[in-house]
Amino acid sequence: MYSVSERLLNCSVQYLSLSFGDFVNMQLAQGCVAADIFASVPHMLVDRYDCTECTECAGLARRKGLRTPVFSVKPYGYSLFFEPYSELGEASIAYFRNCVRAARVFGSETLCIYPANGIRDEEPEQLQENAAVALRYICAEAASLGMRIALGTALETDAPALRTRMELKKLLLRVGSDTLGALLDTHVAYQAGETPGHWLADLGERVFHIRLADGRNNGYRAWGEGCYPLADTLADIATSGYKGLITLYYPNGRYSNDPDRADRANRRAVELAGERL
Amino acid sequence: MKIRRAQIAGMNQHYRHYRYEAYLESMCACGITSLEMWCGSPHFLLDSNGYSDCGRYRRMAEERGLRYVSLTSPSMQWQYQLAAASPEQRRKSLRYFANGVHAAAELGCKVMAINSGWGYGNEPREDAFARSAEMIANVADTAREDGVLLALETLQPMESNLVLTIADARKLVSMVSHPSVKLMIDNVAVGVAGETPEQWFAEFGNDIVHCHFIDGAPSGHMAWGDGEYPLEKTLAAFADHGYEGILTAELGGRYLNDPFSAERRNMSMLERFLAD
Repeated sequence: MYSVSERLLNCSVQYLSLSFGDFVNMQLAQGCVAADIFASVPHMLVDRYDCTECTECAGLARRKGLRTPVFSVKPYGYSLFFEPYSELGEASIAYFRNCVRAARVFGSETLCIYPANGIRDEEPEQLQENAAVALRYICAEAASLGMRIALGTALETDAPALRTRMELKKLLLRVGSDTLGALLDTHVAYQAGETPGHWLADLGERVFHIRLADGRNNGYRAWGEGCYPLADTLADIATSGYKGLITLYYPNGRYSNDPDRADRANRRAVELAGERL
Repeated sequence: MKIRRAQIAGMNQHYRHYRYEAYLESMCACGITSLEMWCGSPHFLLDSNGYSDCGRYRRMAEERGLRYVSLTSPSMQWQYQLAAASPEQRRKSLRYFANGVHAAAELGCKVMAINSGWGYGNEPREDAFARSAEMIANVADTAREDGVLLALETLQPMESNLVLTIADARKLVSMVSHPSVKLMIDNVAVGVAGETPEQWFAEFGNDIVHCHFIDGAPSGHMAWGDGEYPLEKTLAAFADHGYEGILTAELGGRYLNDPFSAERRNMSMLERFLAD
């Protein structure tokens, strides 16, 4: 059994109404020594051209003593599913490759990608192939920098494909890169009718990262405000032998007025449930 | 109470799960002839360094008897917004919105819809107002050169902490004070603020040059009939003030799976008010 609470990370996605400096200060005040960086404006601008603002943000985190082992990509309008050599496909690949470089600036080991967007009147096989081509480029960039990619599944509302762990497993095989693994997001998994137990049994050590969130049909929630079984979720993770980090990831505007309070309550709920295991 | 068919514009935002051609075909099927270009993925690439080939989009529209009348540079899908704070984000946002103006001009649009952007939750609101005003004035210089008007809409509290009401809009346009900066009504934002189109016309009169014309309850960006706003009374408010501008059907995310039937239902509600 591996303790979950020692491996929990907060995420800056909850703090986008505040500055990056505010986020760092609040993490330190909460006693956190590491965090998952959600690369989004207004904290930092990463686009398909450069990631110059990351240098300043990473330097700030480093000076203050906050480690950033995980880096999460905001999809914006980009997608893995676009035809790779189309205008938007090329822009998307360039963007995700730049995110890899941005993550390296932060010293992150894992880059998390949520596969959003894409066109629904495209054949599923073509969508898989488009994603495979894009991911080979992105993985090559990650491998060259000694990083790895954790790719998630998507909510039905957000993407035309890659909504289940079996689709993801097929894509991992198709890409064929040791750099690429799975991102288990408990909200997305439960919405697809799956459990963390299913994921960890089927994908095993290919699960590179976990996002731990409660949720409802209309979005993410802090633990205790949604519909998912926290104790069962933690038990699945603990018994699976998963040794990686776990991000408390629950982007929802209802927490943006006071993300510090939301994070403290959310983490406490998870830690209490973990102690009861 | 009648409106012209050409006043009703379709918008591609809620077709973003489908190809652009499917959107254009839907416009034709619904009898819509005017288009507002939403410069978002997967239909159109707009960023700080450039934009998609407008000639291609114009040809696609003209082949189907359609024409572009307005353009929106999305401030939530991409990395850019008008009240951005850091020097790098301001530099790139300015280029992004200037590119939006250029794209609007190339497509033949007279109006580009904008909003104020937003500031940090814990900074003085005046700081974000000042940034927004400065950036809008800079974009407006480009708009004047290109013969495009910027139309400022209000947002909802869940979208911004800056320009949400008539008073906020008045304050910002006064700060900008530029002949190329006008206003537009977004029914839903207006309704969420507890305001009415009548109040907007009383405040801004002929400076209202554009409209996102949708139903809501009070929010939601819905097809007419799906929300709670009074259609005939709302249209009458526009007619009473001699408004002859565009009424864009900016339908929201609830219609992403089936934008086609939502468009048909919306248009069927408007058909009975058409003069042609």
